Amino acid sequence: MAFKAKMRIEGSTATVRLEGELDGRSAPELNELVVRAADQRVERLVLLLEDLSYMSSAGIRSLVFAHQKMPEETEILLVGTRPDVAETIRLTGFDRSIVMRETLEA
Amino acid sequence: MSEKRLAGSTVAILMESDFVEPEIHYYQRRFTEEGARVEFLTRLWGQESITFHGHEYGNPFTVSGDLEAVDDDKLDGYDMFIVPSGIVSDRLRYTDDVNQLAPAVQLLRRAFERPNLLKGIICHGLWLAAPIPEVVRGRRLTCHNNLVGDARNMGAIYTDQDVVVDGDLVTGRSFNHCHEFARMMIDLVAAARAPRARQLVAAGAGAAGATMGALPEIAGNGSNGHGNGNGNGNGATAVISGLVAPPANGNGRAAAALEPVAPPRPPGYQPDFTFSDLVAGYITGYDPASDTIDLKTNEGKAIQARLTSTTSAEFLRNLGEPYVDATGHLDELLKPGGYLFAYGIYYPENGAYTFEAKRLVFLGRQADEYNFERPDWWVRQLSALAKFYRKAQFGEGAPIDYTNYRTALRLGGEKTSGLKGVQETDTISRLVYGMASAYMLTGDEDFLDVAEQGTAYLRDHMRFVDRDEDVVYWYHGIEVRDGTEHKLFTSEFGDDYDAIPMYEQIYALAGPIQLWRLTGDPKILDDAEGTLRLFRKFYHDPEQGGWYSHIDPILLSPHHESLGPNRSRKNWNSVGDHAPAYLTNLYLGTGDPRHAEMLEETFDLIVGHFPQEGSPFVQERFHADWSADRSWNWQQDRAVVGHNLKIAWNLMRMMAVRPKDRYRQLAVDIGRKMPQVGADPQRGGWYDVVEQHLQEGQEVHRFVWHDRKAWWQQEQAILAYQILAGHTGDAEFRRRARESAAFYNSFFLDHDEGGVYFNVLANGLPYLLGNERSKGSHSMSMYHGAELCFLATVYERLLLDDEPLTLHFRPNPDGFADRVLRVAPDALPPGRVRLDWVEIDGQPYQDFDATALTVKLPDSKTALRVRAHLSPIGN
Repeated sequence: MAFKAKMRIEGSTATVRLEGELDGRSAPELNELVVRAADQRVERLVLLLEDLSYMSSAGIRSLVFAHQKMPEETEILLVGTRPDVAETIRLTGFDRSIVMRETLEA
Repeated sequence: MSEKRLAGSTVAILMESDFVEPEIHYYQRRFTEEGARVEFLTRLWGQESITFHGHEYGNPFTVSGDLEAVDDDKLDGYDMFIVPSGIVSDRLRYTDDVNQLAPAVQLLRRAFERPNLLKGIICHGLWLAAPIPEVVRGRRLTCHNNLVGDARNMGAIYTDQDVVVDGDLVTGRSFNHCHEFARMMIDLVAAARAPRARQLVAAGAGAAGATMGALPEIAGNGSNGHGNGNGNGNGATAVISGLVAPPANGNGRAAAALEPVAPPRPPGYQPDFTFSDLVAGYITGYDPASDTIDLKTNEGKAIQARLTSTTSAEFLRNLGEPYVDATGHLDELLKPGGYLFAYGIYYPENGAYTFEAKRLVFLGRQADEYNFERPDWWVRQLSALAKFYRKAQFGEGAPIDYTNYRTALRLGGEKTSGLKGVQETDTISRLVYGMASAYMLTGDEDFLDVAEQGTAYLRDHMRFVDRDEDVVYWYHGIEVRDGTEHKLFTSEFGDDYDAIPMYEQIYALAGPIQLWRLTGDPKILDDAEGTLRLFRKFYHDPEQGGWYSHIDPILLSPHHESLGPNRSRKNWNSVGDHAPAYLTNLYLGTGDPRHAEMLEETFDLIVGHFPQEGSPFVQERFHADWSADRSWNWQQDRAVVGHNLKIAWNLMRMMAVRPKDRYRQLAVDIGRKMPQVGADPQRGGWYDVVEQHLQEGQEVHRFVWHDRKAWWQQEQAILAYQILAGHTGDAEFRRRARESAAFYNSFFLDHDEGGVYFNVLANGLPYLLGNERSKGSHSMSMYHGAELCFLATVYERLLLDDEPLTLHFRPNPDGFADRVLRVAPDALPPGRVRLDWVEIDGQPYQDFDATALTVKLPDSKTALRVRAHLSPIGN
């Protein structure tokens, strides 16, 4: 399924909805969005992943790299991560730097 | 009146309206004062000339130089290219066709294509580079405070200084700094012009391949016929004719360029004031009546030292040992052949110097005795180091908790206050290396615990398992705060910013692999194999051989433009550091021929590409095609003395794995040459970074920043000369090993706080400022000090002194897939050492191979305690 990413910035929160498969080819697209959010110096980056079926390591690398460039108090929130994707993230150790939730409200 | 340092050179300066008058007038006079021709360039819009008006006072300034008429030849003739302050750059970047770069921008881009042309951009001048950000991306620069955001948007590394130099680019903060900016430009061009004469001398004498760095080539590149520095400066040189060769006339200029000329030499100026210094030497005589000692330095020079009523003497002591006074035994100790250090004061009097010693350090009680050759010297030192770092990181006897680990340690081992702090992968890995080595020599299980928990922590917090590529890589580190962690993915060090440097990945393996040799933990081996796949897939260059030094963090490519000066580069670390950091140990532990092959590739590349004509030092940095990179960041055309020694040491280790004559030849060659160019002949010890090439008139390779001596370079010398002596039996190598170990042990051990000092001054006093005061940084940690103790024990006992060595291992129940424990502590020449006896859990054990140095482990449900006793095979 084709990758789609849409970002909305409201106040100090950037929310990105991801759909489809985030692979090596689409990772730069996410990277660009996240860099844009970092440039706006948001305090919170929310990634909505309910409709993301696959996340490649390249995708995680762009997230980790962007996180390093953000102010250290910036929070990254992953919402609705599918078990497969969560396992990929766990293997990179990035789960220790972010918060994963079932729903945005929880 | 001073020499005209820019005689014959040309400075191009861009101009437009709204220039800053004082700045432009300053350049006009300042560069001219140095003998340069100043050429102002602008876009003339088809006119003969344009008169602009200044920003502050509306002063007129007429320019007739047409920047659109600057062809390649003309551009090659410039020595400097300056984009000044004010609104000049904004006006010049105007373009009538928005799809085209403005002519001035095009010219600037062409200027950046010429590494030999020094570019200067000051204040708002940076605007001109906005349409071509690639020329500054990844480079350090400064600019007007108002443009800091623009600089960062262009991908530059903004640096908060008034003047910043990044290779061929000099930047200044604002027009208020135009004088410092101009002076830096002048200094750089003048320095680069100095080798011109020498280069031509070499060419004239028929020597091939002038080997100058990018900036030094500035002068040599010119088709503009400027002189060699004497040329236009007749008046200037005449004034100081007593100090230099007679001024050259017009014809003499060419002659001077083509014939080797004797370097001009000032008359023998000698300091006419008192100063204190260190002497290292062998005693050749002692006269109690006149209290005079005769010494011969390492290089055989005679020196006389007087004793005074306040001269004190002591014996060399190890970490953890008390001060032992020797002042009362001078008559017995001052026997010919003994080696000592004398620190004292030089008094200029009667046309010479009187040297009065104030502090003497004796290396032993007799002429041939060196305390550091006692069998347990290095083992005790390693144990003291391990206890120091154990206490500093986790407390004495307290539980080992790596959440409290901090990379930054102060002089006494304290952590900087606050909960926040950085944990670097490589400093933990290095600590693990030191602790594992300490366990192997002492069997102290507390050290093993620190190593095991550190390795588990690395796995849990620093490891990135990449399922798509089936590789493993390691974060630079993490920043911990209030129990949360912020991953630092790419390097935080200036040399490697925004990239994943090979160096850090290599050193992430150093500790775990040393621990793996003890336990055989399969989880460690899995990660090492994953990291090796990373090296093969992303760093290796299958066409031209070797490994690239950096890859970018998103695509893992060594060729990505974001890498800037690290793009498509190879260096000593990425090619050669595998061997000392982990690969030799991995091979020793596994016996796997794949690792021997990789070692062989490494050393073949080193002997094939590193030695260079015209310098006693190896070349350390390369482009993808192995052409030398002499313009990189701080390295330029410079040599790190310790890297040369490290190469000699590791080539000799390789002689015990897959020997080749050319490995030995290069190692011996480096071992013979280095003392003349990298060691201190007067005081002992080894220097840090020096210029690769002598410039005209120089007899000594210039120190790049200082003449201090770093602890890790002493280590490389000690190990290199020990192993060279162990393999060849050469007495000179043995002497060098002793002299190096004498200096290290006398001046680097911190008897007050524990640990070892990072740097000492040339005279042996500790240098304790800034980073060099710390005990835990990425280079300090517990690596080099521990590696020295570990391997000096091995070489000293097994290769030099015919002493046995007992080693400790702790194989896990699931450790070592083939249940074969390989106990060789280092790559040792075949037939020199045998395994005498083995003990498992306190009981004698028979199933071992005495010549292969292997133990066939029994199956076990618990970890075993193995002791292996090695003996040298007598000559």
